[in-house]
Amino acid sequence: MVNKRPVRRVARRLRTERSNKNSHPAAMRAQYDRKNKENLSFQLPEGLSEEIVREISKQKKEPGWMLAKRLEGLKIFLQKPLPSWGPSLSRLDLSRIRYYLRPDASKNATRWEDVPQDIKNTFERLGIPEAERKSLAGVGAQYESEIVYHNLKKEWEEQGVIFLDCDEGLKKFPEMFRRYFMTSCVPAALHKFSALHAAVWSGGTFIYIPKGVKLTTPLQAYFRMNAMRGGQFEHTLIIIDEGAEAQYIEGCSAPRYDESALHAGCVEIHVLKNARMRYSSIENWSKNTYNLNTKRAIAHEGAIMEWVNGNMGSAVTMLYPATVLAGDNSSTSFLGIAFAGKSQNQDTGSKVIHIGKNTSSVIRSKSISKEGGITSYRGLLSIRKGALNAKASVSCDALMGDARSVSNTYPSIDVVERSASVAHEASVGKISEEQVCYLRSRGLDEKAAAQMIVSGFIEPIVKELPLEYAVELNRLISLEMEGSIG
Amino acid sequence: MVIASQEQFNDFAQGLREPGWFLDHRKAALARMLAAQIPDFRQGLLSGISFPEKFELSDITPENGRHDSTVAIEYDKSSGVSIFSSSEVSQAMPAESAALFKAFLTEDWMHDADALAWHQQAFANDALFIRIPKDCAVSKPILITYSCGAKPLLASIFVLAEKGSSAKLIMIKKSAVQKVKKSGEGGRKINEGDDHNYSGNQSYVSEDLRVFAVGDNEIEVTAVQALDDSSVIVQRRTSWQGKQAAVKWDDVCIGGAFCRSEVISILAEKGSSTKSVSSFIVGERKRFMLSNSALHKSQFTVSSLLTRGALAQESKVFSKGLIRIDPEASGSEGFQKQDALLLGKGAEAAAMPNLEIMNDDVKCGHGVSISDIDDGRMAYLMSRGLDERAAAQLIVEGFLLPAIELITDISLRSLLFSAVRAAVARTGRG
Repeated sequence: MVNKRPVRRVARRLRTERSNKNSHPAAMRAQYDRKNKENLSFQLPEGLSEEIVREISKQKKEPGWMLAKRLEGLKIFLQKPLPSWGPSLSRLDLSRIRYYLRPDASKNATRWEDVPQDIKNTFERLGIPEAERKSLAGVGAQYESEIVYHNLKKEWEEQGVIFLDCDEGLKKFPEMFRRYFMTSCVPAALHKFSALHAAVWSGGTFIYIPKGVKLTTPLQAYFRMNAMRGGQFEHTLIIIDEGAEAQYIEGCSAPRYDESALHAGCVEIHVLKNARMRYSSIENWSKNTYNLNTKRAIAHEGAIMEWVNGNMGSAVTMLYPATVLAGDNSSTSFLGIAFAGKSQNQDTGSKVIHIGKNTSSVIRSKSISKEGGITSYRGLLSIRKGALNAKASVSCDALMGDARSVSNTYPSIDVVERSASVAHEASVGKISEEQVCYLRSRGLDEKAAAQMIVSGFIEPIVKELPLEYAVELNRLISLEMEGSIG
Repeated sequence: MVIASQEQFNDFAQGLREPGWFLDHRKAALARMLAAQIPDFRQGLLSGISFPEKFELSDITPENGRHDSTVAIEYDKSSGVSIFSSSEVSQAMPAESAALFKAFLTEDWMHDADALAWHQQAFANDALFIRIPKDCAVSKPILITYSCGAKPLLASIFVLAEKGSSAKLIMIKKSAVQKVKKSGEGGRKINEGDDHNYSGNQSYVSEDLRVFAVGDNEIEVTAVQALDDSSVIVQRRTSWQGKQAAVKWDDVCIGGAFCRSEVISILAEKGSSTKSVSSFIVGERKRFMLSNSALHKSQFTVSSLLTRGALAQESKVFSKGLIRIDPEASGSEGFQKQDALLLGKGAEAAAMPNLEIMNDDVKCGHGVSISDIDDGRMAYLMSRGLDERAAAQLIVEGFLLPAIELITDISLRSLLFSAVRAAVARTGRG
């Protein structure tokens, strides 16, 4: 006999949500799209030049080697052509972007009260309330190009955990930066936008978890771009030392303007011997943002790297979190969800490079497109010579909301090691009429039925997120699906 | 870099006795060739796929249009099928047929074409025009055998299947003189890893086969490429399918130092369907690039693409698949599968099974598997009394069964079995 309870429970929840004014889709969207008046203490003119790069470095009082790295990045950026594949970037005018904007706030406040009211209001509106902070090990918040708030719980500080804004990390731990910052994991020459990032990076998070320390609660950072035609280039450098464990969550958003903004952040994660790292992010940039982000991790012997990635907003996303399984017995997993609505192009996926022996990887990607939105899974799975007994599995599923939408799958698999075992599968389809019909027969209206099916579709990813983010993702999806069915 | 110049074309065109419309077709292709990109074979592979050393693209243009290959055609003349060679087109071909062939030589066929594909169009030195009349069910297969010589052969085959017709076409490409390195193994060199025979004198064979299935057709094409191991092969098969037309492609690649084989099905009208099976067995340092595409342009079209094969020694195979469903093609279904058995320690397999879906009312999927012979299956067969080599051989033969079943020619079939035996032997089993 069919158990009706879960269906009734969901129907009840949906009814309750609909009666709640604050969860009305329009009100929710407004929370993300709402902009503050620009309140900047310093800004550089729009466009990119050597002077701009030198000025950023000067403003930050950086050592000479970092300026040299920035200038090298600029040189590579100017030499490399735009990618010949993927979504068109023709509407992104790089000469109009403002590459460095410092908000009028004291840098790195450690008390929430010290954050200026308008910025505080913004983060509170976005759901970074103090109550949520209580369940986290540490919180960082970046506004425009600088971190405005940073705090780490004392118990973790005492154990040697470092959770700092990247600029401050560079000042306090220059040797660690020289060793790990844009060297082996994400070199500036990786692609055009990693080179741009090297030239103009600002803010971001630096995390170091000492040997054997296992963080039981996650660290979190939230990135907000407010200014028109702004560029955000935060750098996240994470080093998980031997035997340590950590979880880090990132949220991102920006208000909507008529002109395009650019986000070209970079996440570098070094997971050392037998360490474990989980990186979760929900990127909900406004729908005129070009999100050309780079995320890469190196997993050493016995290390585990887990990615959980949600891409909701932005006009164009090109994001392919990558793991290099360099050490023997290392493993990685990627869980991704991409949502593309009207005028959106989400080109995402994951890359795994197996180098060590007995390595394993699992990639699971889900995408939803509607109202003419384009989702593309673009991934790479490479099993190099000597990566004995590598096991890899990739699955991507796409759900299409209507006949105008597009779903593409471009996986690339390259195997040079015969002891490898590789499997890939993908499916594309629409919301099944049979499933809708079944749920309607159980008392749900068409819209609620469709929402429930979508929730079920993304459930494997949602259940891996912390509760607050799972709720946010579910709400975002229902907001985006509003009006598509029923 | 330019493969061939305008002057070379002028020389080539002088000796041709072809109607003006076909010459115009060549000229248009030449213009496209001069503007097109030389193919980049690095795509999708770590170490890239390239032509054999010493092979020069500038050598692939036939001098004076002559080739030293022989073409044998067997078919039932009473069935109504008519076949014309390029020299017969202007005299023997009825005006009505000529008009039909002329109409279908458009650029719509040239999906994803690069300089090599356009070069083949401009410099084809052997062309066949096959017409299968309306409602004609040809019971005996049309058999075309190319025995290829040392000079470049650029063969074009245009098949016009009129409404309601059905036929089976078998095309075999083999070398006129097999370079024998070792007796045994059917008198032919197979997988002799120490000598790749890249002497700089590779014979170049290019082929462009097009099937124009007007509607309500059932056309089967079986193509076996068993050329000498020194050959460089570029082959491209395309079908344009009208309402309810079904085309089945079976492509088997065994020979050649380098082989690029493309199958493209254009499902242009409602209810058309294609099934395409590409099989290969490859050893030594051979390089294969296989591509299987279905372009769904109309409602209720169906495609099923399968590429499978085994790689021994230091061979490399790059297999690309594409299912594209246009916004107009609601109710369509497309599936593709790519399977590779990596037998050689130095072998490399790369797969890129792409889907481009622009309509939600579809069912689409794809799958890839790349692995060595399954240990569990080996253990089972060995527990039944087979030694290690025999067990491995049986598994590989089973894996390649779709290809083996297609080859009815005994000598070609023994060639395939020899290739399997050699591939398994080189893995060090037994």
